[in-house]
Amino acid sequence: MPENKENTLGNTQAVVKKPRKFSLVWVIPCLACVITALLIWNNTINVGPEIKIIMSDAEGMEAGKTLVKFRSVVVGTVKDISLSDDFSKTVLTVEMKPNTSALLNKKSQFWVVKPRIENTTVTGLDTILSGAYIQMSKGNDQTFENSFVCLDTPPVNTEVGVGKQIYLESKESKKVQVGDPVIYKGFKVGSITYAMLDVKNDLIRYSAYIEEKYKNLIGKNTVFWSYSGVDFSLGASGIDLSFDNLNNILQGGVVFDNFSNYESKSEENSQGLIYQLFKNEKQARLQTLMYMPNFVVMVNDNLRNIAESSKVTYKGIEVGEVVSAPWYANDFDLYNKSDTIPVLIAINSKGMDYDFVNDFYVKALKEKRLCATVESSSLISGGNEIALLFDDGMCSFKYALYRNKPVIPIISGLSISDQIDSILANINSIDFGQLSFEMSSTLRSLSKLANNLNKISASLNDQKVVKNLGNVLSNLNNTLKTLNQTTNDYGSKSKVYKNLDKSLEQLNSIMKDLRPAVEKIGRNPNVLIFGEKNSDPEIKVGK
Amino acid sequence: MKSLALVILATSLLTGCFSNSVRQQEEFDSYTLIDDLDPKVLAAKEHIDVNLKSPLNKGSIVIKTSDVALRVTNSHKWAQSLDEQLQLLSASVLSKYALNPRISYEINVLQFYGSTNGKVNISLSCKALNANKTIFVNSYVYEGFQSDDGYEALVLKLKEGYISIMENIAYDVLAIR
Repeated sequence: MPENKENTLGNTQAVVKKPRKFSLVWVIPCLACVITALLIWNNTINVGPEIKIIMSDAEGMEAGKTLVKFRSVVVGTVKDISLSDDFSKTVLTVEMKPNTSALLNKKSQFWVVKPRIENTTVTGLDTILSGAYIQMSKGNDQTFENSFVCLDTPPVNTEVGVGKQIYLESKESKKVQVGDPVIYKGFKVGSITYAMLDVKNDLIRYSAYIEEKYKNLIGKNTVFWSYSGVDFSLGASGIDLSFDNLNNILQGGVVFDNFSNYESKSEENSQGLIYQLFKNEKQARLQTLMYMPNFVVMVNDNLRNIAESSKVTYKGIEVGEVVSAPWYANDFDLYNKSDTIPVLIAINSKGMDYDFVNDFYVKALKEKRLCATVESSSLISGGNEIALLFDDGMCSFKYALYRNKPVIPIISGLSISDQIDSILANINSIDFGQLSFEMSSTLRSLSKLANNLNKISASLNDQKVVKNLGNVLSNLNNTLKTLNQTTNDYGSKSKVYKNLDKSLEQLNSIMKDLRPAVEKIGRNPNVLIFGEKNSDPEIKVGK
Repeated sequence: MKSLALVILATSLLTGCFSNSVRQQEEFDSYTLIDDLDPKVLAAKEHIDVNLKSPLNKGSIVIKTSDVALRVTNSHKWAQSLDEQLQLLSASVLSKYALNPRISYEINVLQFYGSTNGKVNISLSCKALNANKTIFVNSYVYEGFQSDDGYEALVLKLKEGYISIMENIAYDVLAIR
């Protein structure tokens, strides 16, 4: 059986198997190679640029966690946080994502997004839970840059189109914040992008960005003023109060307008025009009035409530404004010059030719037909206005110049406020103390008299005779009235008058005789019925 | 009968009440101080102003009945107002002296009355003015007793006393000159 077995085995043909082409043993090395390759790719080829962001304080930043975003898309991660060599700054090493090199140029900006409450907005609330992150904006420069200074505040968005950069300078204290809008006729046309205190020139310098579609609004005749949304002034022309919408009231900003006949004297720097930023609209408008026909009015003695912006009227119609009052060449003129005070006025030539308006007034002055007077414009504020008069008779004054401006002569007029001042002065001269004392004593006497009359009338009320007496007195009163009328018709020397005088004397005598009786009845009404018990005392010498 | 008796009783009571009121009507006497004056003094009275303190201005003679009581009489009245009478009386006396006619006088009378025992009191103050400028101020008092009982003697004594005061005033004013 074992041979059979061997035979059987001996007859079996061997099957040749083909060896396997890929051994599973290589799976693991291959996988390792792929991973290695991926890692190499990821760490070499698929790596974005590494940049450094310098900031003063790395508050809220965490290495490996803090993200860098552009338009809310993650474009990088903070890889490392370290201090600068001199320990004055913190340096963030950020690993940007691949293909973000185009975002990084000289004008790219980085800032930290965290909860921030501004004038009208609250931003960055999402970072309360997620933590702060770094936001970036793409600059419009072509030069690659990998080191940036982080901004303290978010920059104003100037990416939309190519607008216009303007520069403002102000001598007033800072009223405008970075980010405040630039407004034209109520529309936001740009933003303040930068503010700086120029210590050397004692100025505040601003730069503003005007959006592309509005950039043509800015020209040489543009005037800028800061704007608070609420405008209140109590001036010579009365109370002026205006409100804008709530947003503008809260936000403020810079407003501009274009004035005809005005050309800015501002210099142009390498980047554009530098405009003056006026304190308010009034100051801005007064500045432009200097480019309209100007004249000088010499006010006598005192300014009489004439101030900047006071009206200049002709036939009650406003034709101009006071530009400066007083308009001295220098401050010493107040003490050196005569009693007259120069007031510079401007005639509003809007819509008309400058030369036409100027020539019209100068011609009238030379022909001695034009003069002015001061009139009251507001009873509330006591402000006055300058009224122009064209009159051949009244305005016969010589043509004169003051600081090269034609002088409009003034004729005396008394404004309502002056009249009120005069009346008040007269009232002030009255001795109210003495008057009050005399009135007081008179009233006391009257009060006593009234009390006595009350007592008498109260005690006489129930007496028949007295009632009759009342009737008699009433009749007498009527008679006196009639007599009074009669005396109006007759003179004091007439017979009738004398008779009446006599009658009145008699009546007076009767009244005097009645007086003790009335007093007696007042004291003791019973005497009418029961008679008087006490008779006059007897006089006996030596008693 | 009862009603008749009531009527009679009521009538009697009423009659009893009115019997006291039906009395003889008294007539009062009027007294004057200026009956004997020269009418010329009427023109000179203008520069004399006399003011009477109460109750002298009540139109009746005043009698002092105790140290603190004055009685205005009912039946003894002044024929004219007392201030006017005194004004004329003053003018009459002063006109007898060669006084500056531009001087005016303000006389304030405090006492001008008698008393039940016949004593007469007059007191007054006098201010003399020349062109509204005070040149002289003085007070005067007169006391005397009337010679007879009654009001006529009182009036005569009052007149006599007042004239003597005015004469003193005239002397004083003359002394200023």
